[in-house]
Amino acid sequence: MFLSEAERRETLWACRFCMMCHVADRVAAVLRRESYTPRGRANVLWALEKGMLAWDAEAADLVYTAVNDGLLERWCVGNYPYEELIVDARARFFQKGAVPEEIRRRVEAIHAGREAGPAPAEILRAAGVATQPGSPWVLFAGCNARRRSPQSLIHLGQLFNAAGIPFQVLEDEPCCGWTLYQLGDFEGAGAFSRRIADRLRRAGARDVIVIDADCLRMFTTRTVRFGGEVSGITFRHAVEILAEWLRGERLAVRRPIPGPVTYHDPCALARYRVTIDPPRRILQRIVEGELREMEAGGPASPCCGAGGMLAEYKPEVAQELAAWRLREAAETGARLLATACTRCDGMFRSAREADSSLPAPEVANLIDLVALAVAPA
Amino acid sequence: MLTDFRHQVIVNEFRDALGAENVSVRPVDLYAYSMDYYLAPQIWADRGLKPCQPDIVVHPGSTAEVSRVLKIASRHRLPVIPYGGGSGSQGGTTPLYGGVVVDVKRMDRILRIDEESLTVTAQPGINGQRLEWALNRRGYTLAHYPASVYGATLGGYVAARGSGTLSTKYGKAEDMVLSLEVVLPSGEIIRTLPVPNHACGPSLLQLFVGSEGTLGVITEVTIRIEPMPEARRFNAYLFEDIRAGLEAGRRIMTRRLRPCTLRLYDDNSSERIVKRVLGLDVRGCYMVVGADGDADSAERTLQRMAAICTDQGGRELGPELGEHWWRHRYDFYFPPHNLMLPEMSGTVETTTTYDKIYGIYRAKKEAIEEGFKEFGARYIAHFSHWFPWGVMIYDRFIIPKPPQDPQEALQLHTMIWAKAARTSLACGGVLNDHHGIGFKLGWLMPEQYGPAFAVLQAIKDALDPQGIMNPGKFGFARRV
Repeated sequence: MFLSEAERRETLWACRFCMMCHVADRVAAVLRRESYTPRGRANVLWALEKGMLAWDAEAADLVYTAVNDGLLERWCVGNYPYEELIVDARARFFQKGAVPEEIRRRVEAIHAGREAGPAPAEILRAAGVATQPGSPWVLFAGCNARRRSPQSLIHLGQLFNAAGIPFQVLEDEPCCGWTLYQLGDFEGAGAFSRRIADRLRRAGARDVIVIDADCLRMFTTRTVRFGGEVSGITFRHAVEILAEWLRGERLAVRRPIPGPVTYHDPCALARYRVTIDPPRRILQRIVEGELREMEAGGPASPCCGAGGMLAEYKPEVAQELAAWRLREAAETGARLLATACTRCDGMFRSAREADSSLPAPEVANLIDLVALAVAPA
Repeated sequence: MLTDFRHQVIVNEFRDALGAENVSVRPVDLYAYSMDYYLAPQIWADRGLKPCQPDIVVHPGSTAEVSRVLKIASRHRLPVIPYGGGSGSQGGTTPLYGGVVVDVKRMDRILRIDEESLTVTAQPGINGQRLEWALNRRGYTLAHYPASVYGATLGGYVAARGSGTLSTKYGKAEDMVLSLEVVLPSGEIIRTLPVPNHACGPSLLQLFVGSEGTLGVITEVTIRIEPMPEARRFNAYLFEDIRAGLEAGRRIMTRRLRPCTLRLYDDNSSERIVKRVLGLDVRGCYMVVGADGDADSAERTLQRMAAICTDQGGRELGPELGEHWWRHRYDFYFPPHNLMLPEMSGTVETTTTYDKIYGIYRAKKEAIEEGFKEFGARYIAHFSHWFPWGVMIYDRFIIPKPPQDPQEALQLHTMIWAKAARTSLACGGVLNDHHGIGFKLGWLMPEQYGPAFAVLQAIKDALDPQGIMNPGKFGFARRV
């Protein structure tokens, strides 16, 4: 388990007797039920331990209906690792075979490789993007981007080409294991961590540039703890490297994007990696017009709804969270909502598909915006 | 508890009334609603014993749905326990006899902000801080900042006569509310008069304010709001002696200054709370004072308070130590600072007139520290809500190592509460100032009111002849 037993018990104790983060918990605000508050979940977890409730799918439902975005830990004066408590609880349900059926099927699909999407090499080849096997620069797409946002992968590849940086992708890019970790399959997450670390080492990776912010969080905070050996390899998010390239004139802006624009901070970047400035620096370079901040931004930014695999388990709840954020973006008067994570883009788009009455702005990934801005006029 | 068959029949009626998705009988939900912020069920659960649980939880989304719920409950004589944010500490939502918990959090809309009259009308389930943020965006504030603001609901503020860190100036919830919509136990929907001040007989409004779900379910609240003040400033003082601090506070209030905050900690509380949580290294009795409004009048009020405090021997600590308190005013209630198990603690607060306050403080300190010496009882107090005629004492007991045996622990808990409450009553106080009565203090209500309690019971019987509303609370006779 990721928490020590002492940490787990202390966090459970803290959350059982406290309601001070309820206002910060958007899942609780959407569902409006005590059971789905941090205190409600903690009380149920306690009752499970004491044998007052059964470890079953109904109890598991409470811990899978969470975004695990780290916002509550940040809100908490004692900074108790509530997210880890929830992930730890998921792992316990998983070990006991008591997870909801949807979760079990999802884990099976990941193990069977059905969630991975087309290989990045194929996507890039089809788009005519040049790669160079053996390069120390590795572009890591991640399953979500491969399946749902292949254009962002293509654009990033084109930007590498434009910047004159040769790069490779892993021919059969394995999953980083983030989803399995979040779903509580720690054994699977461990196996995936060791496999991807092995593949990166064998590929001679030195600088790994990651599209999906959650994959980056896995590499930088979880892979080693799950037994993956990645010493000597640097992991960065695409926006970090793009901000450098734009500043250093490796990439020149030819077609500025019309503003005003607002920016949604992905949890994994803003809270866990504290990557706050690079995306804003990018926007200042490529946007003609104002960058308008939402009321809650930076490390205080709420989850788009995709965190904790909620989008897959309870899409209707996740869509409500995304709709909430879209309304906040609209309040700024921006015409464009930029994000830096393909999961966030997908979440916002899915919310808009579910409810066409949701207000503007248009949603775009920063990678795609940079590609547009530097494309020949 | 209901038999399986009757339970199923009633559940089906609720499903028909609210939609299946708004009715739950899942064990995890029933368990989650068995507790709020009340310590006794937590002691029970902490020792591995299941607390009292409801039979059903429902989530109405409108006044009409609350009405339907109460009609069904009334027909089946089913206990009804209204539930908001679950922030109460008095056992107000403890489902002592099972029944149906009516969670009003789906009713969380702001219905109207009247910028001419400075009022807001909202549904009862809106979270206190969310309401505050919404008002702030329009340039207003509710000026009601209880420690529970992040979890509590507007309905709870009113139903439990809550107060907050600015209540000395802006009043308690009962002073702020203008009118209510209430669903009676029969399911009938009524409204109190549109304004609180009138000469149209006794206040129906104030009958429901503080009724803690024993007379009906509050479904709409119209309450006063304030413009955001131009300035809000603080200062802090240190008194060697609590009596000097109390006298300074009394003079501030009886000279009719209007501080927004006036809070005096005794030496134990300064050590336990101010020093440990805020990191302010103070020895003595810490007092924070605040004033708000336009910058000039806030400054004038602070200056006049400074003169009074220094005249009483208070040493000025400076604005930063006051501002620091304001910025961290909620930190006390977050773990690990909040007083929670494994320590046993309770806020046995009361309120009284200035002539009696020091006597109550001494008597309760002695009652707890001497009366429960064998358990290592500690007593800490601060004085946080001041009135023109007196002040409330927010005093607490702490038992560092309560018995592990659940019966013994619960017995000790009850004994301390009884001792503290009876001491308050004997010294001219009341059972409670702003946390409410619930189950915890309900059994002492007849003792507090004496013959007058029959009046309250008669009102209860008239409105709720079957006694379905929140049975076991307030000391009302149980009918269901």
